[in-house]
This record gives sequence, C-alpha cells and structure tokens, in this order.
Amino acid sequence: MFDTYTTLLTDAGRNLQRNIRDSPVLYIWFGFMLVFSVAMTAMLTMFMLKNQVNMSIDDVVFSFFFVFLMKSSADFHKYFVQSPGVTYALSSAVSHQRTVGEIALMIFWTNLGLWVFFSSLFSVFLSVAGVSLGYPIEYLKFTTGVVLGCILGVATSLHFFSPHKLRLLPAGAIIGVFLYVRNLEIIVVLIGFSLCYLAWSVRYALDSYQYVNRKDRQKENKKAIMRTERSAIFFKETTVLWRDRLLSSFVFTSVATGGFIGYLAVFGKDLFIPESLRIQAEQFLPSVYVSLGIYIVIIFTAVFPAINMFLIEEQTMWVVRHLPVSEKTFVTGKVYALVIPFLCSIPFLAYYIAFAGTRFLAFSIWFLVFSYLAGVIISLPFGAKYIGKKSDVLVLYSVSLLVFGVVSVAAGLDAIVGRFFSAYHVLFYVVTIIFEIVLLLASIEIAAHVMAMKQKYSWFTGKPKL
Amino acid sequence: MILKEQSSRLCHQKNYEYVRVYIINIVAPIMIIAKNVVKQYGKLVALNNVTFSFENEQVTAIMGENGAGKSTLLKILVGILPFNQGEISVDGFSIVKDSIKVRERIGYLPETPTMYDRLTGREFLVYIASLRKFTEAEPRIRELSTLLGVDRFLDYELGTYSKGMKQKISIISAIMHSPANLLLDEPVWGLDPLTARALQKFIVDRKGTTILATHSPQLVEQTAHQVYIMKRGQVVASGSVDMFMQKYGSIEEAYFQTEGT
Repeated sequence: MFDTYTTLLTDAGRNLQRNIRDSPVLYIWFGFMLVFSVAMTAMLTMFMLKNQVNMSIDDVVFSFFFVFLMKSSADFHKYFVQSPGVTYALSSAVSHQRTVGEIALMIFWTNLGLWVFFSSLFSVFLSVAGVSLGYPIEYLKFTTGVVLGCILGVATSLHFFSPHKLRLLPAGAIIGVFLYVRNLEIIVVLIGFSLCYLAWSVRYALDSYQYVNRKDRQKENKKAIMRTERSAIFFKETTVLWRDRLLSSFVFTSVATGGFIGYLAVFGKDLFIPESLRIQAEQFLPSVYVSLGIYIVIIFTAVFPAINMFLIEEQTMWVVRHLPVSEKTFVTGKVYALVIPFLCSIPFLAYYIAFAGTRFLAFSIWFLVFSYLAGVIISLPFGAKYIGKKSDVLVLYSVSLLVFGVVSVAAGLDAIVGRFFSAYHVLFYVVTIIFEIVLLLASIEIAAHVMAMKQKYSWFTGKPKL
Repeated sequence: MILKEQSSRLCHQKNYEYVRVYIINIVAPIMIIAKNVVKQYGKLVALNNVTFSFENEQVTAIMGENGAGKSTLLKILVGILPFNQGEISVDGFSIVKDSIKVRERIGYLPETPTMYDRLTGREFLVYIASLRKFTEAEPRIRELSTLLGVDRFLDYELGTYSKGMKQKISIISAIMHSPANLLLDEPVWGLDPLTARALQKFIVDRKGTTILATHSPQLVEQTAHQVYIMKRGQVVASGSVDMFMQKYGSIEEAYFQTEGT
C-alpha cells in the first residue's frame, strides 16, 4: 500500500538528513536565511497594510499559484519523467496509473507541507508585529491557489514532455479561467476540474516517461575542433546551456523583467503608492525598481548558472577528476562560460530604457555589471563546496539572499556618493568594478582551493590524506 | 620496447620528468604501487590496509565479490577518490603531490560511464582530448569508433545512447591517447560479443600497465598475467594466472575456492 509514495518520501528525507550531517553549519545558516526572508516578507506586508498600499490580493494569489505550478512541474519531471528509479515500480504488478498517482500525491503533500510551514511562520511573524490575523477567507483563497497550482503543475509536466502537446490545452483553459475569474467559489470548482484532468492525464503518463528525441547533430559537427583547456570547458558549458534552452530562457527573463520594471517605473507610483506618500516616493522609487529588476535578472543569469555548473556535475565527477586539468583551470573555464549568460541579461536595459527613458542609464549599466560580478564572485566558492551534489534549492536560495545583501549595500553606497560626492560618481563606478575584478580573481582561487581540499581530505572522516 | 620509446622521448623532448621515469623503469619496472592503503566510508572499511604492485607490460586483474573494494581501489588509483591512509605512486609520481602528472599518464574506464547527455559522442571525445592536450584526436576517434562499431552514432546526443554505446564511447575516451597506464572497471559490461572480443584483443596486444576490475573469469584467463582476489576490502589471494590455472584448473574454480574461504 503506497509503496512508491513512502519510498520517495523516505529517500527525499534521508537525502536532506545526509546533506545536513555533511555540512551542519552551512545548513543552519541556510535555515536562518529562510526564516529571515519570511520575517522580511512579513515586515513588508505590515508596512503595506499600515500605509494602505494599493495592491490587489488576487495578483498575489496568482503569483503563489504560479510559483507552486512551476515547482510541482519541476518536481514531477525530477521524480517521474527523468527518474530511472521509477522503472522498478513501473515494472511491478502495481498498475502504472497507481504508481504515477502515488508520485503525484507525494509531490502534492510535500508542496502543501511547504506552504503550510512557511505561511504559518509568516503568520507568527505578523502576529508578533501586532498585525491582526483575521483574514481566514484570504488564507483559504491563497491555499486553494496553491492546491490548484500543485495539481496543474503535475499534469502540465506530464504532457509537456510527451509528444502529444495538444493534451496541454485543458490546463491552459483552466489557467485562463483562473486568471479571468478569481473568486473563491470558481477556484474550488476549478480544483474539481483539474483533479478530473489529472486523473485523465495519468492514463497517458508513460508517453512522457523518459521521453527523448534521438537528436542528430551531424550538421554541427563536420570537423572535430581541438581547443585549449579553458576554451574546451567554455564550449562544453555553453553548448549544454544552449541545448537545454537555458540561454533563450535567460533572454526571456531579462526582456520580461525589463518590460515589467519599465512599466512599474512609469506607472508603479500611481498603482501602488497611496497619494500621501507619492511625493517622497518619487525621489527613490524608480531607482529601487531598476535595482530590483537587475537583481531578479542576475539571480537567473549569474547566480543560478554559476552554482548549477558545479552542482550538476554529480554523475560526471569522474570526467572532471581523472583528467590532467588543475582545479583553477576548471573553475576559470566555467567563469568564461558565464560571459554568455551575462550577454543574455543586457536586453533588460534596452527594454527598461524603452519604457522609462535614459534617466538611470549610467546607474543601470554600473549596477548590472556590479551585480553580475557580485553574483559570480559569491556563487563560485559555494558551487565548488557543493560540487556534484545535485541542484539544491536551499543553496541557490541562500546564495541569492547573500547577493541581495551585497548589492543592497552597493546601491546604498551609490546613493551616498551621488548625494555627497556627485563629482566623483563615475570614479566610484570605475573603482568598484576594478575592485570586483580583483575579487573575482580571488574568488576563482578560493573556489579552486575548495575543490582541491575536497580531494585532499577524506569526504567522510574529514581527516587529511597521508 | 618501452625503454626504447622512452629513450627516444628523452632525445626529442629533453624533459627531466622522462629521465626520472626512465631511471625508475630500469631500477624497478613496477609502474603503479599502492602501499598500505586504507579507505573508509564512515564506519565501513572499504579497503583495509591493502598493498598492490602493478607491473609494466602486464595485465593485472582484480576480482572479488560485490562490495569487495575493486572499484574503490581503481577510483583511488586514478585520483577520483581520496583515501584515509597509505601511499600511491604512478610511474614514480605521488598521487597526492603530483596528481596532474599522474592523471596525464592514465586512461580510465569507470564502472558506470555517465557522461554529459547534451553533448554528442564526438563532442564529448573532443572535449576529453582537448583537456588532455591530445592533438591527433580526430583520426584516432575515427579509427577507434569504427573499430568498436559506434562511428555512425557519433553525432547523436549522448543522452539518447544505449548502455553499450555509452560504454564504447567511454572506452574510446580511456584509450585514445594511448596511455601508459590503463585502468578498466568492468570493461566488457554491456558490450556485444564482437566488440568484447575486439577489446580483449586490444588489452592483450597493448603495451604498458593494464589493470582490470572484473567479475568475468573468462576475461581474466584470456587477457591477464596477474590476478588479485579481494574480499571485504582485503586481498585474500594473489599470484600469476598460470599459477592459479595449474593449482585449480580454471580461474573460476580458483575464485570459488578462495572466495569461499
């Protein structure tokens, strides 16, 4: 009874336990970061409530729906579509529908558990801050949005990786209705529909299991081109990013964020800020928006790829470790490959300028370069520390928060320089970038050293090799 | 033959490293030495104070039950896995102090050949050749891929390969630069009989040091000169294949007799 369900839960739990045992200090730090960010969100909510900021609760509900839709899609891809381990369950006497259903159930309960945990923590912080928690209907609305997101996420992932893409249409229709009509009763009805849709989808689950196109790339490989070590690593990383369609998703992220932030820079003041605060907000709001936009872009184009380039080496560690390549060369090759994602982040500026004009152009260019470099500098040692340990959300999230701290301080410094030493503003930009380049070189050395240390010291006992 | 090759390298490259290897080779033709090696995974002792010597121009097989420590030993010899205690040298270079020089001198076929799914077979091999600074990769890839019957799949992404095709690509990556020391973990795993036979012939004909970790007594009989039989991280029997054959009649019988104890 529920064997697949319990096995997957046990495996996920033990994986987390092992990671915590391996690096207890870092995981305590990561846990602290999570709690801190929930507290900060609660404080922001309190600020918005006290200042009567005009924000539609439906937009926030939809944001949560979308986040959980994406997460459960990714979970289903990991636990079913791409999981070789499921072969054993699928080859047993248990029906395929039941096995897939158990995987979907595991994903549903895990994500709902995360929602309950974080929303409870959020509520605790709000109540400590003296905010009334008498919003049961709103909470119910959020929860139904999350439930709908989890169910649709599984179904979407199931059909997205199948050759029969038309089966995605009902999911699109449900999302469309949810976007258009957002009252609670309709969401509950949509949950019923999406459950029926999921039950129907599960019948076709095997269409997407380990679905791969045998991709012939003959035209791209007429001649084997020998490269230097660093450019070989650059080529390999860039090819993988390109074929995983990550480069196009980076461009999409920067274009979408640029457009959205540009729109907010023009109309955001009237949309969100109460009239009493608008005059004060005018002073700083556009630069806050552009900073926030750049931060979002560099998280996707600098932090995530920089860490993931190391984390996803899990099964291929033998390739890295048995070749006569120094750790520094290996890290430097990966840093070279990050130039392409940086280029993908530049459209943000174009789209932002198209909406908001060139008022913050110098600041935007500096802040984009500064933030990108900061993201890479901080990410490299963490990537090297966790090399080969699969993509870990906790690591990605915590490093993102660290980067947020650093770029916030930099933006603050820029404001101080602009106010008191405006004649030296350009000098400030140049000096900070040069300083970061020096730090980047140091970060490469540290990351290489961390990788070498992992080789020299026993991974299990922590004792040095003799 | 090897001495001849090395003396010609000396003349052409005037490299002190080769002088060192040359001298070591004259004094002792043992190319890989693992002395008193201990490897622990937490409380589990995978290798318990074991000593091995792998001679030049010899094929040495390592046999043993699952979990005996064969693959762990190979990973340690290649420098993939750190160890807790002991000394290892390859061609006179310490695996701890001169790991890059050691890695230049080896070819390695892992137990499970996992590669970058989004690269094609050719791209993967060129990547490995570039990192090895092996400039004549193209004709060598063509030659070996034809020999192993994988040439028509070279431009497909590795993620779409079968187990045997991945094994073949991995074998090419291990042998294309003609390494002096070749470490093969279950080399015939997943291979069709024709390719397996071609690989056996290659192992027999090649020069240098070859180490095989395998469960196949037939492969050991047909290719190896020396054999180590391991159990629970320790060597329970070792000697020449001829000696085992004389004593037990076959390697399979020798394995059952020694493992049974």
